[in-house]
Amino acid sequence: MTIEISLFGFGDERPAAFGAGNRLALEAPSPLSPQALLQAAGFDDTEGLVLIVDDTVIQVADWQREQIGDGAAVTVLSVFEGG
Amino acid sequence: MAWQHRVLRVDLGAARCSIEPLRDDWAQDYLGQRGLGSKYLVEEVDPRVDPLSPDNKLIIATGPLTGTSASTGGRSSAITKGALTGAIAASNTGGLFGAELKLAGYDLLILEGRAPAPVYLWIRDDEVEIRDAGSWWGRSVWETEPGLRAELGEPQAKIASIGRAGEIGVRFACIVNDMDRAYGRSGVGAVMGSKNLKAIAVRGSRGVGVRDPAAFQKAVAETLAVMQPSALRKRFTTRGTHNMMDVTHQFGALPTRNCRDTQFEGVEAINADAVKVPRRSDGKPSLQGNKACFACSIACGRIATLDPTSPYANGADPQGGDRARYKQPSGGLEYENAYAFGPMCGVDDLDTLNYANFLCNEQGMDPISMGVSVAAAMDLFEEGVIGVEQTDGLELRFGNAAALARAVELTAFGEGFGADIGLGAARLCAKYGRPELAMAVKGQEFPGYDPRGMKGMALAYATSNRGGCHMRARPVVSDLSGVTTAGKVELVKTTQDLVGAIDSSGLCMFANAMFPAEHLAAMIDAACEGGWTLERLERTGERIWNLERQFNLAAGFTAADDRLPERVVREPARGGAAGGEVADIAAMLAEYYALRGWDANGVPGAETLQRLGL
Repeated sequence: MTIEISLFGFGDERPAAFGAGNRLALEAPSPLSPQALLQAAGFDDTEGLVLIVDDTVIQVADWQREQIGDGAAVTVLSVFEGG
Repeated sequence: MAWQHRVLRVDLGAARCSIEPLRDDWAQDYLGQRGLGSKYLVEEVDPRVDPLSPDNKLIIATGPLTGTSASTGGRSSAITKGALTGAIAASNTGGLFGAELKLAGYDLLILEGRAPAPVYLWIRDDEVEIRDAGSWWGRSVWETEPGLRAELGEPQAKIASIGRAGEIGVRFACIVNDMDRAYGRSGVGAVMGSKNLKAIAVRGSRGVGVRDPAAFQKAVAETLAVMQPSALRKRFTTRGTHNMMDVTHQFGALPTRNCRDTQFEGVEAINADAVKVPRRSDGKPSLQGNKACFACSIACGRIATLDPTSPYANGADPQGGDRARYKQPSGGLEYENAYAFGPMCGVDDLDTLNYANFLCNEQGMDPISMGVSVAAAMDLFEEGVIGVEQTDGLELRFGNAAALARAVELTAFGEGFGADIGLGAARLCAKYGRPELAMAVKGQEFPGYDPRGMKGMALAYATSNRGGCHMRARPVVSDLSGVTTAGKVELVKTTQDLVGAIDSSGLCMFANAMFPAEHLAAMIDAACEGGWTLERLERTGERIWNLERQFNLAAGFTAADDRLPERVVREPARGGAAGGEVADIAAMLAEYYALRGWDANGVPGAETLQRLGL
């Protein structure tokens, strides 16, 4: 199954698996938790990341519990207390 | 130590300068900068005063860490009763000016009265002189800064000045220092202009001592060791605050077309990637590089150029002369100015955004209020409330880049409809009978975080003592991590208090985002007498917050002013994770008042005041 992941707020500082458009079609054998998905996509450090699946924010407390399956559109934001 | 223990007081009406000892007891209660300046203002100014009268005062205040080697230790604040809001104002700047004032030996500079004719102030350590500014009045910041250095024969003088906007009383005029940094918000530049004070030039050579130099060096080094390797610090350096534009757009919290929308279809033309794309004309990108403030190891500031073939940089200037100066680099797009001139006005032309921002740097205007005021005018135009007969022929429709640029020009010089825009969004919309179209709180225009989906920011906007502001609390990361009100009241209250302390320290808010607050306490404790812990800093921040609140209540503000515009309360956000949300803060506000120890009318209770020593 394929999970589409898009990055915003990263610029060129992205995991190697992502292309210049900051997008990745991640192939996975079965649904993944958000935590597992981020690891599979190459994120070693998840601090400051926000995960949105089909326009719904997955709160960090649910990153072990939720499951992301085939066809999901995942958006990963890099956020900070900006100006 | 860390404090210079001296206040420079300048009575502009009497042309008298005096140096007096700092109230050390107040420094122990309010630390410095925003807090200490606010204490002096509260003690010396009637809250009901007309902000533009000689009886208002303008206080430039440094913090104990200003001018030290602590990273970002170059901050200072301008405290006054704001010309835009009528509320207490504390506008914070970086650059080099604040540190230079501290190095000249002053914690605070208190400006009072009104000079009978335009003057500027020249401070060289203990030598202070009020000088004729007749030849500088009417000239821009970009002319005044180099011009004063040449006149003074002091190429290292640091200068804070107003442009034409401050002179003519544009309500959101700011004070610009170091060419493109600013005491930006609430109209502090209009207050300076009302005093006939064109500029402050300063050169200092005294240094800043600290209580325990070895402990201070250790605390600074330990903070840097945490801060410098962090991914967050690197992102601030490489992409600046502009990075947030893609984030808020995706989330559905990017205020667009005066908050009619919350996502902007043109975002890719004006985001942090767009400014790095080489232009066809000269092969160079808009973004030329970074700029750091005093002692800063982040360097989030941006330097940009216009396209050299742009009409904004060529041909005749409506004010006379040519436009060659706009081919020079100046402060570039960061998140807030890009949002205000871009999505908020529906404009996706990068050169127009840069030009509008250059004008704000050149003539001294707050780009947030400038952009949002134009957006309000565009809304009035689109609604048919005003037409070309009011706007000097401008088709002020959302997305009209040329109209935006011309509106900013007109505002800077108070010409035609620009005089109306220069009132700020709230007064502008009230004048034309549609006050609900002003995206403002307490008269101050929104920053770039739509409060419908960002629940903590909604409460932070509503309760900010200086009006709509994103820098008085720190709910952004929490808000974007889940669309919920759960936990937001306590988060907003506690970060408002912490921010009060940071704003009073001499350090930049951005630095604190990169290291635990305990580091801040360690640096202040090593620098200052009195035994400073994080707990004490938080209590100091709470004291400052309540002091500001009391000033505003005495100025005539009530709980009815702790509210958001009807549009964001009634019209749901469209798109993104925030889609469908409205900014209903009633329940949070009641909980917030209770948590602060205020009554149902938002008035601090006796027990709260006693606990804080107010």
